[in-house]
Amino acid sequence: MRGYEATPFFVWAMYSEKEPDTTEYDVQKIIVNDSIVINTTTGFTPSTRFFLSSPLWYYISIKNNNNVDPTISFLQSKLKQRYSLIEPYQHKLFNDSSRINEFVDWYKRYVEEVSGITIHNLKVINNKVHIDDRKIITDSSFIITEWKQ
Amino acid sequence: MNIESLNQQRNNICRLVFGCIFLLLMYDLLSHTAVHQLQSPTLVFPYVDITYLLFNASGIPGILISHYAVALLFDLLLYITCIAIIIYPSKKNFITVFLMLYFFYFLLCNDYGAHHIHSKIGILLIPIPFLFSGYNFLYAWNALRYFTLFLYADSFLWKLFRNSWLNSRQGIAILKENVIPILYAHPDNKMASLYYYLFDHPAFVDALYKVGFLLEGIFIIGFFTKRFDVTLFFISLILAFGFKYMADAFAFELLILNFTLLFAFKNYSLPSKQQALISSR
Repeated sequence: MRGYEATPFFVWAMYSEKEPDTTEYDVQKIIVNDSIVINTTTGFTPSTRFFLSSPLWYYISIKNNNNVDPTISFLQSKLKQRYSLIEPYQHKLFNDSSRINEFVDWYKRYVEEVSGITIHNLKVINNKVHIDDRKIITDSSFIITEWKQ
Repeated sequence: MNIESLNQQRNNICRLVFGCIFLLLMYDLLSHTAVHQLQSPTLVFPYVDITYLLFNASGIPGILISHYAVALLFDLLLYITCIAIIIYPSKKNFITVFLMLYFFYFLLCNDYGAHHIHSKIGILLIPIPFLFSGYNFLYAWNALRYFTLFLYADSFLWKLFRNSWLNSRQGIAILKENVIPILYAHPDNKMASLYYYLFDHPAFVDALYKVGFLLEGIFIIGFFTKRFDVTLFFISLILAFGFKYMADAFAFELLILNFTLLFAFKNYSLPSKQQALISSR
């Protein structure tokens, strides 16, 4: 576990690893009340954008990890049998199923808080896109999560 | 050096710094990221940082985040303490309380924000020198100046030793990853034609990445002399704006540490420990 950050001993290593040279990108779209698109890239301060995007990305990574918090998977792979020492406290330290299931309710509340719109339904869509001749083309889409009244 | 004049300078800088911190707290309030505005988030992200793991284990985040009244009280205390420091900069108890409250706020934002961002580190660390007065303040302020230099030098060294500066596609990969969501959501963006031009000229973007890398390296000079502190101050601004337009991340809150470069006490030589002890009696 050496080499990882332990606050307040910060590591300033952003973008120091070789970036993957990909041609396909994931872009999220938030649609409320069937038609209103919440554009998280403009009209919000960087701090608001952080809270609109970052927990959502983490939720997606949990979904992609069979609904298991990736930090749990990471620690299990690193610590092996010794993980059993942490396991009793897992629900306090990381995201258990109840925290994961409550995410969409919280996300709806926070989008309401920042947009000022009363939300009756909310849908988060992930689009896989690529660039072609100065245009961004959508290759595929799937619904990440939905909330209905 | 006259201790009284040094303490007067300390108080003036303290008022200036906490005035800026108060504005940044108001910016958080306008951004709906004060604790009472977070709507009781659910997901946590301690990752493998022992401080966050202990914080979550303590149960404190749940208490602060789950009850609106507690969250509101926490925020009010944070703002009131900050105002109290501006009015009474020499009262160190207020600074201690602010530091504790902001440390919790810092952990909450990163834990429930699901990413350990570094932009609030400046606000977290800059109150520390004001816990002291006299020469001890000068030592602590100087130490914080070295930390400011270190954060840029550390960024340079990580890139240097991980060889990312040798990757000819590093700049364009960072730019595309961060800018494509903006162009997708907002095709008529005023920067769109510039970004598409940069996509067509990856070598130019890579050159910009390397310039940024070298500019971070320049901060090493500051460990040996204070002569170029004003230049380093402007370089840090260039880096912040470069990061904003290249990586869609604007860590402007971190720039509060630049006060250590602006007020570097160049004309004061630090006394020996013995002299400092005598003068502080």
